[in-house]
Amino acid sequence: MTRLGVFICHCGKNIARTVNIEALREKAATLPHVVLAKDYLYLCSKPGQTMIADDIREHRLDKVLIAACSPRLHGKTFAQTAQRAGLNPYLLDMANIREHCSWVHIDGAEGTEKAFSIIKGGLGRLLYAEPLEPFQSPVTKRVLVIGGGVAGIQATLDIANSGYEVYLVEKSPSLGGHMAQLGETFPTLDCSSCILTPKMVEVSQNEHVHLLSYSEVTRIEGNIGQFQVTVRLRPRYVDETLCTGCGDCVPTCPVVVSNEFDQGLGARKAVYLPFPQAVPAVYTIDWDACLNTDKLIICENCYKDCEAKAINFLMEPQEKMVEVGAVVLATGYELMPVARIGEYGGDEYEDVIDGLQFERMLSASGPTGGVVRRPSDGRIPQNVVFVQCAGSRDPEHGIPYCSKVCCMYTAKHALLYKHAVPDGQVYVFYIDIRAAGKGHEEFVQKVMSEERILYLRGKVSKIFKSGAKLVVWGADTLSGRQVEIEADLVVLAMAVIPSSGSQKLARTLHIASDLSGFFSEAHPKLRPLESNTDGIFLAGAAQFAKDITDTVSQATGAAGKALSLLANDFIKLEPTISEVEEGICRGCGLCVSICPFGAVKMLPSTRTGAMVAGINPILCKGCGLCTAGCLSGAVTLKGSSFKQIFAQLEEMV
Amino acid sequence: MPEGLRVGYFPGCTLKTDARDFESSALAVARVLGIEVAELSRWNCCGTVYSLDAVNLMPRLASVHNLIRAEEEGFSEIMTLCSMCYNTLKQTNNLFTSKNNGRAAINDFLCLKPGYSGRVKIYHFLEFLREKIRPEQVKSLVVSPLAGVAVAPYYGCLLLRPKEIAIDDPEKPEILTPILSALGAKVIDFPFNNECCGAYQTAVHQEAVARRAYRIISSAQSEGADMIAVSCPLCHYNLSALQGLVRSTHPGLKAMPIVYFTELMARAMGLDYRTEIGVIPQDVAAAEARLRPSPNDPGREALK
Amino acid sequence: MPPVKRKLFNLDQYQVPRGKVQIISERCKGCSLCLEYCPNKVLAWSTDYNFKGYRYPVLEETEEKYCISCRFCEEVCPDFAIYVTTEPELTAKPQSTQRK
Repeated sequence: MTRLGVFICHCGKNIARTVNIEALREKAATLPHVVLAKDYLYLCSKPGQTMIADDIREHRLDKVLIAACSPRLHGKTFAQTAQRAGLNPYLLDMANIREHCSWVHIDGAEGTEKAFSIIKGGLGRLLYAEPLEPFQSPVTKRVLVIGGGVAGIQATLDIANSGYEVYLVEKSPSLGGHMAQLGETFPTLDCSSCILTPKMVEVSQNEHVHLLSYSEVTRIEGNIGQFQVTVRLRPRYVDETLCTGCGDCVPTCPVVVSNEFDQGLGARKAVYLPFPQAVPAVYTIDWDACLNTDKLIICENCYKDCEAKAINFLMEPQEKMVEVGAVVLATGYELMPVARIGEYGGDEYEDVIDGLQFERMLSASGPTGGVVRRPSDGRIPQNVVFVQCAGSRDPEHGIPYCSKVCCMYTAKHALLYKHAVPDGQVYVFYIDIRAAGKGHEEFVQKVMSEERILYLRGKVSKIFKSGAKLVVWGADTLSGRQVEIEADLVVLAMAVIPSSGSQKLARTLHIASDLSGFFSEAHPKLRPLESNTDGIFLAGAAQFAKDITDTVSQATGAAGKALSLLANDFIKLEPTISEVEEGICRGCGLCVSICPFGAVKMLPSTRTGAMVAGINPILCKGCGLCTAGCLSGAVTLKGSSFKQIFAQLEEMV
Repeated sequence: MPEGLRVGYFPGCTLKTDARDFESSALAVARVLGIEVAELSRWNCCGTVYSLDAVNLMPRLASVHNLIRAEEEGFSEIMTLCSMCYNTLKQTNNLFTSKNNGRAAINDFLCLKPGYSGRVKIYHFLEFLREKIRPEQVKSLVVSPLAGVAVAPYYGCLLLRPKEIAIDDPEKPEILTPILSALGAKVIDFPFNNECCGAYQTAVHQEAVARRAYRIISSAQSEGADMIAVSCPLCHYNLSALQGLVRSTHPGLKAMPIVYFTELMARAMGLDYRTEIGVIPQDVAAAEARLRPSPNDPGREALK
Repeated sequence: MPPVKRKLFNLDQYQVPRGKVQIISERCKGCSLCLEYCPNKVLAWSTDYNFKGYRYPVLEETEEKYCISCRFCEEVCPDFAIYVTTEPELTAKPQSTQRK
């Protein structure tokens, strides 16, 4: 004879407001097998939990139902309570009478009735519950960091300096990301590369870091504690171990193309170092630009000039398998292409540039040596228009959100331009100034008041060319007038969007991303550093647009999350996974194709030798797709068996 | 030549009066391109700007009547020449096809069962040409190419906005480019090609419209255009008839011919399309007759 | 890379090797491989014919400075009719070109 206990939570007024707890408890006490029904103001509180534990022991309860909030919130709390009282935690279940009931009901009678039906269902389900034991899985004490911008660099250093091995995978030839492109940082005007370069060097010199540049993650398997990662190393046609970074290969290279690092404003050769401080300080041959092809190798100028004999035209892509226990995703952002805004010229006008291009001009190591020039004729512009919210906060162009950094960097751009060209005129179009950060508002106010920059509140409707100048039409909503400005240079603060390829990576890693393509965090308030897949953490602008300060903070946080996982030798895995009844399975293999995690494989049966489905408990996430898909009902999801679910339904309807 | 290319034709008021050359040239061009243009046997005003009020459905009924007639006459596709007619008919039709629609309200009001479905597809002639006729077909019919003529296509607003009914990219329209190129003309892109011509402000604020006309025309001129090709009678009027007024403030403005794109097509194809240009009935009796509602209007029946 | 082709600010800081194309027109059979493979497209067809009756490649004077001495023409020529000598100085005019 099963002895059931029901505990009903008031959740302060959250549940008690629309559910008559007293009546509910009395009704619940009359249900079959129920030997104890109690209510309490906050069951999750310490006295509440103690009460439950004491009652389990005192009344020798076999199974316990907690009628309270969602198990997503306090499932773990009460499982621990059961454990303390010596009850298998899988014999304690929760009936959600808050999110599913009291919060969505106004009428007390209806709410109470529904709460009762939920409790009845929960008891029905609980009757067929069986004790389950979690199993352990070892933790591989290594971390994979994807993305070598400032977020990835910070996370890598934090983890490596704690003594754990880190694999840092970077898509481009060098570490640094967008921060390496910037001139000076707001609001303190620190030289961006001066503060970043030491960190890049530290990464390259740290013995715990394996830097895999010019590489991409193509495949990831496994789960928290033990991920098997496949990294594809693109051939750079220069042997990293031999290249001394002397640059002798460059002068005789006959091909000049535009440098991505300079955002298309500067040149580089086909064999190149993206920028002087690049890490690793190893040259790369851009095979798309190189005159040689896979079938035809004729130009050997660089090969002949390389004393270290590092050039190897026959290099092939390599695959490297890496085993790690945790992953930090720091794939960063890019700017929305100007081409997507037709009314701003759609990237047809040379002198309409985006914020990153302006940064390259401001950078002392940039293509203009730190001088602001017009791309069309190289002259120093006298009238510069900055357009904030170019794409951002503009659902018409598909970006509803605020890109967060543009108000600040535009103010910085305006300031730096005015310092260089004191008699130049600057106009800034803005919707609002969003300067919510330490020292940010002060910075913008200083720029506005001291630099005689004309801030115009309104949007720009159209930019077009008139002779050598650009004409900018906009609205000044404070004076209520339309304005027309003849400009030499227009700088668009384009919207921050997730870096290209992040969607592909999200699919590779089985993690969710939001409508705009940024990786989704597990909880917007309480778990902002974790993805919805255990063991994969988020850092930097890959999660959402943010400035360097926030990026570094989040990266350190993500590193801390990874480290606290690595501090364990084993992690406990939930036993609520699928199980195949071999005698019933007819070996159709449908579940193999259904499983999104590759957890189901066809294996010979231990008894008959026929091919039947087998489930890898480490890979199985307990989603239940195979259970629902199985044509013969051979697959059971432990903790949510068919018996349990049908019993719950029968009790409820 | 494609067989059986047939389309219903909704002319609208202006095409029968001020813009006769637009109609006659378009019909002549359509004929040689093998398009059978069948004018609706009965039609009324498209509803013009009044119907563009987003909230009030009542002014849309004029358009709805036209659409119902098109469906009754068995046309699944109808075409307009006037940009305004295109805009009002298309926007009204969208009320019936889009999600948040006024379909039920309008059909209930008109006591129509099963009611208008929204199935008629509305084309502007330009759009029709793009979708059904290849530029090479146009080219093959050209007998006297417009070689050396720099034509600036001007689109105005009604074909492009709102973007739900736009026949082309509202910010970078270029639907006329392949046609004009096929005629042998040099196509001039100028930044004002999708700016408003001033529209009906011409009735009350002619100076304001003249200011717009000046900017549009001078922009096209500075890009080297010999003429401006339009697809809307109102744009045609504002840009051509107001040039005199423009010259009162900007005496230096050179005269800029404003032509319908179909006129250029017809001319290049050697077609005779000329009517008595710009016939505006001065006759009071005739004007009154046009204003008097017809007792046989089925729309009135439906409204009873 | 952005779609608009902007002039590269620091292009003049880059130098590329300069070659001198030598053409032995009598050997040419007009197969056009050299024209096909020349990455900077500096070669053009002659207006006259060689004694075999073929047009052969020529280098316009205005194009001379664009030869980057990559030797593709030399390598692909089946008749040893074209070869390149590299000038000692890196003086060819850099062009931002991508062949592939």
